[in-house]
Amino acid sequence: MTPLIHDIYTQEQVAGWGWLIAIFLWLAGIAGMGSVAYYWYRKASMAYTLLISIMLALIFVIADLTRPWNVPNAILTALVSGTYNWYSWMALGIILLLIQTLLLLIVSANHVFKGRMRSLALIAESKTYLIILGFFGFLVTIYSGFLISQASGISLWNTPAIPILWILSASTCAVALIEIFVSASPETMSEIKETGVRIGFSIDVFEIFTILAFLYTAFTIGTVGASLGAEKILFGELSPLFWIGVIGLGTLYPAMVGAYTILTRKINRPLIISAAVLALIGALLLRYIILVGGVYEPLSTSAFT
Amino acid sequence: MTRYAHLWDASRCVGCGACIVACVSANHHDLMNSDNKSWGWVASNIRRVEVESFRPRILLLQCQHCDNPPCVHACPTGASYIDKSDGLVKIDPNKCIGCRYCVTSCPYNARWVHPVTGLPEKCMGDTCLYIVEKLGGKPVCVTVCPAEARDFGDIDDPNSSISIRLRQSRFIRLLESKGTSPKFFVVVGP
Repeated sequence: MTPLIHDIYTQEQVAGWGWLIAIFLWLAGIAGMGSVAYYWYRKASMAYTLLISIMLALIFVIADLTRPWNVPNAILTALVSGTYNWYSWMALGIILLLIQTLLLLIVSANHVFKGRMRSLALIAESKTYLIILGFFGFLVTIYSGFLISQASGISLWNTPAIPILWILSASTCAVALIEIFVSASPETMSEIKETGVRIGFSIDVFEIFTILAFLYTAFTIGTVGASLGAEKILFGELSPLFWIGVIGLGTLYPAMVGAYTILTRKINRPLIISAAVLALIGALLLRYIILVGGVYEPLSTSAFT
Repeated sequence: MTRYAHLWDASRCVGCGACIVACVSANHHDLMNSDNKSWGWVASNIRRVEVESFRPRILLLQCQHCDNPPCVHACPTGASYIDKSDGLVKIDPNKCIGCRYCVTSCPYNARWVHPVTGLPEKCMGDTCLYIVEKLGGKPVCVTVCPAEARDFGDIDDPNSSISIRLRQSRFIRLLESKGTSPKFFVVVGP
């Protein structure tokens, strides 16, 4: 006899991580992999967008706290008393986000002064600085993945696929941002390189495969909690958002536009812009459905294992 | 070293709910007329799980006071910590920012969010800690149980009532495969 499961608790119901955290993860990803892409696309528009993204990310994550007024006191007390937990991904994330904000602030300031402040330009335009910026951007994105995958109460998330997925998805966001900026004016349209389109297409295809492999594995051989979460995403209440929003519009459409561009060797501005915007929205929806799809392991079925 | 642990005897429990109500009235009397929205349940640190396989049975769940607690490892500020003097997992409200990482990190779903203070609540509540630490007594869930299905004490002391009961019983610990080393013992028979 199959046990009736009476204790299904969703992560959203118990912990309350929803849209605010999804937007935070999305913005952290944009700022993170965008900082990597900045090495190749060093325009002011890109720098400002990344700075705004990381600052908004910080605002959203603080807005989600249930005790935001206690942040300065708690962190100061933890540092003074030596209890700041350097092994916690949340704690590491606080440090990484602050470093990345500072790095992006310097890059943006250099654009504001148009490189006229010599000392600032020397730092912000140096190759070493751009590598450091990209490195910390990569760490920020990785952190946003491990933050979720290390939450051991939610079996669906306990997989290395999440950080990989976050990297892929944030990379599509970085490519999308560049496509939007380049397509914004007809004069710069010619800057869209076939190599860039090929990279974007490859990431899209790999991302679709990773998403489906992750959910298929969780659904078929995952624990009861992981399977329930994957079912909720693939066939349950989140399935319209997943199949239409994440897979259809967020990844397949941009991949098809990429394939069309590669095959015809024609840059179609409306198509490129629409694909880029939908890729950005798809990345946000992906984070939301994975967060909200989280289900605690029902102890009625697994307590005695 | 003192290592406090909880014991719940599934073979003796009559499912009256006295422990659950006692926990609310002792530790969360401010929420007597409102819900614990996280669990859709009363504002108790104890959660009741019903299992229907072969025969109906219940499981009473609360913080397992793990020796290797994921909530403590996850907490960025050290607000969740193991008190080395008694082995209990505790919360320091001064250091809590309300990120709820501890809530998502607990495999037992043993924490819930206080609707007013935003603290991730769990067993043991302030009153029970006061009774144990200052008065040398046992938590309210243990003292109110009419079937003596609960016990609490130092498992490092071979003469404590909990150690004696554990020696005389068959017991399990929940989700041992998670590597949490829980100190909540479920007695399943003599």
